[in-house]
Amino acid sequence: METKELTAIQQIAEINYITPENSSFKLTKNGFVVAKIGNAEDFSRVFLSRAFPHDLPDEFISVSDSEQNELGIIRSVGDFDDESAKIIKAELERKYFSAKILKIVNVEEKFGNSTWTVETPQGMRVMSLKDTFKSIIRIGEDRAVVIDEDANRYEIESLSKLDKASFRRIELYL
Amino acid sequence: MDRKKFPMEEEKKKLPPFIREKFAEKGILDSDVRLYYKSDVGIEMEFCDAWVVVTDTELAVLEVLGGIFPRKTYNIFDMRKTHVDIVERNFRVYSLEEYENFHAEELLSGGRVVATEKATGLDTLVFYFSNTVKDGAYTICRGVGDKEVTQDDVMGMKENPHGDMSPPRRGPGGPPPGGPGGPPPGGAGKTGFFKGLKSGETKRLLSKLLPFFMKYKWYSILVLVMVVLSSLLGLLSPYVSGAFFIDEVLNLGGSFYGQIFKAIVIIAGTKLLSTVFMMVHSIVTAKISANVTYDLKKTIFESIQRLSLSFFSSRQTGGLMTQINQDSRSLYWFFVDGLPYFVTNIVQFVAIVILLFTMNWQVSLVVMLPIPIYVAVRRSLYRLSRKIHARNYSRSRIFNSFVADILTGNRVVKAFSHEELEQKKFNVRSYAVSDANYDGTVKTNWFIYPITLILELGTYAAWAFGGYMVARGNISGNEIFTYGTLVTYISMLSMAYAPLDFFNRFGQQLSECMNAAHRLFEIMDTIPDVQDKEGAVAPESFDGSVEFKNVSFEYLKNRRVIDNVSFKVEAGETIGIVGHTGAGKSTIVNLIMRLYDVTDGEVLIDGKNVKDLPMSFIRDNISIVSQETYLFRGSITDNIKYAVPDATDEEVVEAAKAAGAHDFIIKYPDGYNTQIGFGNKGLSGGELQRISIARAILKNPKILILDEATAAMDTATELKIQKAITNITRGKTTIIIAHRLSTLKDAKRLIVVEDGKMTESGTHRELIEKKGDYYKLYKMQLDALKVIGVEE
Repeated sequence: METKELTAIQQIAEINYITPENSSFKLTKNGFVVAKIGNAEDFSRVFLSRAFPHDLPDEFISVSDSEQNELGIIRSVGDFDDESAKIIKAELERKYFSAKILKIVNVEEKFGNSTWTVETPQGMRVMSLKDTFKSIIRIGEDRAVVIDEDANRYEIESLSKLDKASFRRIELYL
Repeated sequence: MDRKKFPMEEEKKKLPPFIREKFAEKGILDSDVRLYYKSDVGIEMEFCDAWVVVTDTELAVLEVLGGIFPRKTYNIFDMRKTHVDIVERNFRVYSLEEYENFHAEELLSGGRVVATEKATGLDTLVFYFSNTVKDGAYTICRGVGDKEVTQDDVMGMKENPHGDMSPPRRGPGGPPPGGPGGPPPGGAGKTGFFKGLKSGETKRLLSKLLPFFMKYKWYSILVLVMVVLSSLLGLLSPYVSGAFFIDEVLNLGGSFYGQIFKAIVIIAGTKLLSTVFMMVHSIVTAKISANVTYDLKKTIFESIQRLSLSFFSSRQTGGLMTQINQDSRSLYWFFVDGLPYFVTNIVQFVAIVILLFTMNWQVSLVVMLPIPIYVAVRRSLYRLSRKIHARNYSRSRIFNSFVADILTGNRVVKAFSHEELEQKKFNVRSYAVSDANYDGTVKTNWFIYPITLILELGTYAAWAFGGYMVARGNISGNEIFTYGTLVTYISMLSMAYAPLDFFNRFGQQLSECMNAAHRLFEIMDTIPDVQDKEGAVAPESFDGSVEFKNVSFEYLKNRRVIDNVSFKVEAGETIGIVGHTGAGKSTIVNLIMRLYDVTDGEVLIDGKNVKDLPMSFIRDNISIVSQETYLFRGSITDNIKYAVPDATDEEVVEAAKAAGAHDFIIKYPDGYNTQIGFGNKGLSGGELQRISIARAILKNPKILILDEATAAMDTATELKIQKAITNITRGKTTIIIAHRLSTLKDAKRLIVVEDGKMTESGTHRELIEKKGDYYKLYKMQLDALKVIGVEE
């Protein structure tokens, strides 16, 4: 990797970038991600977090140990070989899993709150939103994240691709 | 698929029989099950029921699909309304001999329970769970190794004497969605507290509101009588100006023919009387409205004041203020405007319909036809209008908070020269508001005008059908339906339609009122987390020793902020509590003050558990001087006297003098009468703190807590205040909390807290010699001083 001169901020920040050169990732037989980073002698479990979960899901991935100490940051998962990238992406998918809403079967409103019955690839779900307007977060023009009162998240990947009846049920909350 | 019977009510706290049987088939007997829990996410991260049982030797997970469904057919011998359809899809067992360290790891929408394989040291996945049943998952992890954890802990079962009106105190991990507690349709897991909000809710809320109403019953009855009387007179006026004037005064042969003046007096008289009734009604309404609003605000505020600190930490103060103001207005509307007019309109509607049918039943039958259609259409549009209203409200709320934010942070906006950027953001939000308004108005108008035409149809029918009868009557010479009667009839018809609109509006406003009532009762019915024990008596003598016995505390379930802390402060002793920011020092203070109750262990004051002492006694005998000083709006005297309202002026000056506050107070032109508060403008941090110390001195408590009292001050100010502090700590049990070690020089003993645990205790010298956490802190601060050229 080409060594660039560090900017003033980079010098202060002292970010330890995790690259294919200074690390290796693998799965245990039980399916958990372990990594050997820097001068570590052995593989140990690592925990991954997205810095920009909505905008850059595969970039700026924070890697921590089980004590929640950050070991470093993966600038881009794409820098890694296919096998490692697959492992990292799968773990991120598990961590950031939120059911995709395919259809909104029913929306009932009462006392300023609402109950939604939705269809997801993982099955039907009935959820309660404490303040419907606040519970829907628009990501860009067409995506939305719905957060129920227990902080479970559901995603509407494309508002424009929702069927007409589903869209009509939530149109006024958008 | 198995078809089994739904478990009976008394078995709710046990595993449902059909799950019990499944486990029995796998060799896990119900008698061996120590704990059970139901997760709502399967191993493939799909929504399904994952039943987890813990025995003394193993933890097993059984995933099933399906659930409890309404019966489609009933027979008279079996009246149960549900049946169970389940299919097993996965079963796993984790022997406690092979696995250990069961713990939960958080994911975005829930988490997973993981165990470590003893042989390899590798982690393995046990089950997933959603946030809805998160607490139970954590408790199960604890329960694997701790036999004191009971099924009630897993279910978060605590008796709630206030029924389902209380805010969500759900059983975390208890039979959740789709469990024996409540069957959702199609096996879908239902989350949240809406399970409690059924159709009878409005009825129940109304019955709870009634006692409020009864307090003002005589006023309300007076208002009601006035409104009814003026409405009845209103009914009379179309008759006197229509049928009476045309048929009896103008018509040859009428009983008042030609007596125009007399007729005018009658017409004007009815109008005048109606006006007098309305005036009396307005005056009475104005008189009682102030009382009702006052009373409601008082009730709401009293309810809020009664609640524990934890309630306030979970809500925004702004929201509560809005609640007090808006909700009292909505409820006031119900008492003063809504209910009397509702009754009046019903009376008016029924009276008019009877009159119309008496005048001509054939015409009336025809003109009443559009009414059911109109009511049905209006009802269906009601939902739309509510949504439109809610969207407008939401956009305005976002816009208003944006404007408030930018105006408050104007200094920062200017410092970064972001005026243009903020202007653009303003435009976007402002456009969103006007767009929502425009869209809402257009949508509303699309429907409002056409549906009023439905009622017009009735009027046209009356003109046509009635006109035809008048003409026929004139031709045949049989005047059953005269021209005057027709005019009266048409006027009355429009009066019959007016209540219909009111009923529509009433529905909407009633729903707003119910929302307000719901919020009000939510607060009123919330049981304060911390309350006086029945029969708690203040001790006669009081020395002031404080003791923590194996105290643990968590603000949020399974997040311990204080973990098994024990220490004792003898009466009159001064101790220091040291630790990093966020170590749990201030939580210790909250527990001594009993602002929260401990999760485990005991806090003793003078050897008595704080839970057995009246709260007023605890708070009267403990004073806190903290980093955050809040001075209320008023004079300096008022603020010092806040601790002891009946203190004399002499005592106030003495306290200020002892606190080192007198010197700066006296320099103000208004001295002790200087008005302060509302952001405490004009006083420096050191001055504020000295007023706060003066309060504490005036209170003269047995126990004094200094919670980072001087943390925000420069060293010179701290030195000044230190003298004041030394003045008040004399002879009192004093607990000094600080991260700056110099503040603790008066403490005889020190306690070191790290991550909620007490890691060390002893004198300064002992701790330095021990070279533990305290030594590290000491070294760090010493090094920091050396950097800036200060040596010890």
